[in-house]
Amino acid sequence: MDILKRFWFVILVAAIFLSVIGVFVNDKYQAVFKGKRVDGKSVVFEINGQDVTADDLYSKVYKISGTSLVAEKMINDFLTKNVELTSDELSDAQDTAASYMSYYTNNSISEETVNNYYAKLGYKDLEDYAIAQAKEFKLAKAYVKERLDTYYPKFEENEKPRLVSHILIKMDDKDNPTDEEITRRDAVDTALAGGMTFAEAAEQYSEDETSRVENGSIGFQTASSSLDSGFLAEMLVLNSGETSGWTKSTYGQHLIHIDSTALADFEENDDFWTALINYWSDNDVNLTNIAVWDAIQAKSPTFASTELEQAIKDYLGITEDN
Amino acid sequence: MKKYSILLAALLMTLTGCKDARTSLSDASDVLVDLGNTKVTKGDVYESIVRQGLADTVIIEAKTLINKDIEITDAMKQEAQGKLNAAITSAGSEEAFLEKIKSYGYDDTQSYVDAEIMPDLQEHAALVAYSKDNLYPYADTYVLRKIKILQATDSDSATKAIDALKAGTSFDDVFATYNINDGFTKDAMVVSSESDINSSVLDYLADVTTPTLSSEPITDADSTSSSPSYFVVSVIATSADLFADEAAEVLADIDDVKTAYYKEKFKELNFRVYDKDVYDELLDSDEYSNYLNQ
Repeated sequence: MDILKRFWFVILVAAIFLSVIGVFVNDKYQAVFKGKRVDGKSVVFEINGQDVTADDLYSKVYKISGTSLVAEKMINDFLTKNVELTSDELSDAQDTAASYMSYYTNNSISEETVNNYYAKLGYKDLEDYAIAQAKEFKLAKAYVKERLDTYYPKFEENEKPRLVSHILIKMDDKDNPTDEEITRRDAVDTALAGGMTFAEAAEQYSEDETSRVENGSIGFQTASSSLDSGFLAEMLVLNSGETSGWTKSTYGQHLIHIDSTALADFEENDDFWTALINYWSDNDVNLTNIAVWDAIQAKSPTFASTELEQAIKDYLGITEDN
Repeated sequence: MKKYSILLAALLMTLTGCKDARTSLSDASDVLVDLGNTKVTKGDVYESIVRQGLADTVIIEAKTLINKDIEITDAMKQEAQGKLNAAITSAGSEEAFLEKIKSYGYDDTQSYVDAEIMPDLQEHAALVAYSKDNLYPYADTYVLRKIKILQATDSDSATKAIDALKAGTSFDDVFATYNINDGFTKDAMVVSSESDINSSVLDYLADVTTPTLSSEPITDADSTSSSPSYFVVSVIATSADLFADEAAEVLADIDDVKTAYYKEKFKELNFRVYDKDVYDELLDSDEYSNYLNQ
């Protein structure tokens, strides 16, 4: 009683304090989503008294998509821990991500939605995905570069790769140019006949504003390039150093010049490596997966079973031939 | 001071223990792939599965459990065999089919039938039984009618067909003479307001409450269609009690009836979820949120 009389105020404050904490803890506990465990296993749901555990659902889903999930996680983790990009490569990847995001937001898909989508796939966000793609491309490029003897000849035969420039004279009706359009076209012919180089003439006279600043260059092209069909057909029959006659397209008339068909001139151009990799992908040889798998082998990977390893190889398209 | 420290620690432990439940595997740390400086475990794969969405799998499994005690009749076994045969034919050969289902995780055709075909048949049987038990008001809501129908080339042909029927010619004979629609047969069929049939016919049937023959061709000629259609409809019955079995079959195929059945069953069988991420995913779904009881 003496203690109560002496410390009544302290006891009162303590009682109030403990009550508030008790209410807070109880409220928090009520708001918490409760789990269930049976025989040491997490229950995901129950119905009609039957529990279905995480282990049960994992077995079912793994049968259908387990191999792809393991393979994708393996590749993502390998790239994150073992492949570095240069600052230029990283910057390019970030620009690619920004460009994709612009496309999405211009089509009324929010940044949050886009990033949540890539988070579901195991990336932090769209930029993280673009960086992973850049790392895969880096590996694929290095792999193919060492094996051009294997992968280039058929690509060259079927795709006719080349560096291309052009001079465009815009016309409303390519088949019936106006006098004014003919005058502009003739000015090009006169300039070239007078000794001007193709590049100089393109810079001065071409009406394609994008390529004009590159001396008429439209860069690396192949038989699969998305070009006007008339332009493409003419482009493919020319040899290195040759210039076409005036070739019609939906834009007007062009002079097309082949700057080079030499492999040595392609190797600094990422469009070449992309086209080469895509060509083989279209022919059921996934060079990116093959390159990543090859890089992973340097880590002497071990698998839970030979069946899993084979399933992953099948999923990635890894065969005895590659 | 020591007592206060113990009390504070106990409170903090209580608070940190109060977090939403999320499931995990009992063998999550089992390694599937070891790359030296990184490993892929079963737990990683399970996290990927949950992250990409487990709701569909949960609901499919729950529905299978709801219907698992539906009796498997000989008729259902026959139907299952028919569906299996069709799937094999579609794959090109039994070998090709086996290869395809092995990629889905099935060892043989029987395990495929048990997991993929039979649950669908059990579900259908359950829905038919539910529809029979709830024939009304569904029959009224979905305007069930038992009819015979033909589609004629034009208004004149349709009128001639009607005249022939009025004169006593059998529907079979009139159908053989005038029908141009391969999707129809001379036999009676049960239709609902959800049936895939010309809307002008559905509008006509909505106004018919007793057995009758369409007095003039039913047409969508007033619509924007460039080639109008002409139908002749003989309404055989409008009271679903008179064709209850067929009515139940038709109702069982209606999506809203299916949703209502499962909404009832998920509640009756006390469906409960114990993973916060899965729960949130179900809550976000227009269909699945109907099944939650929490």
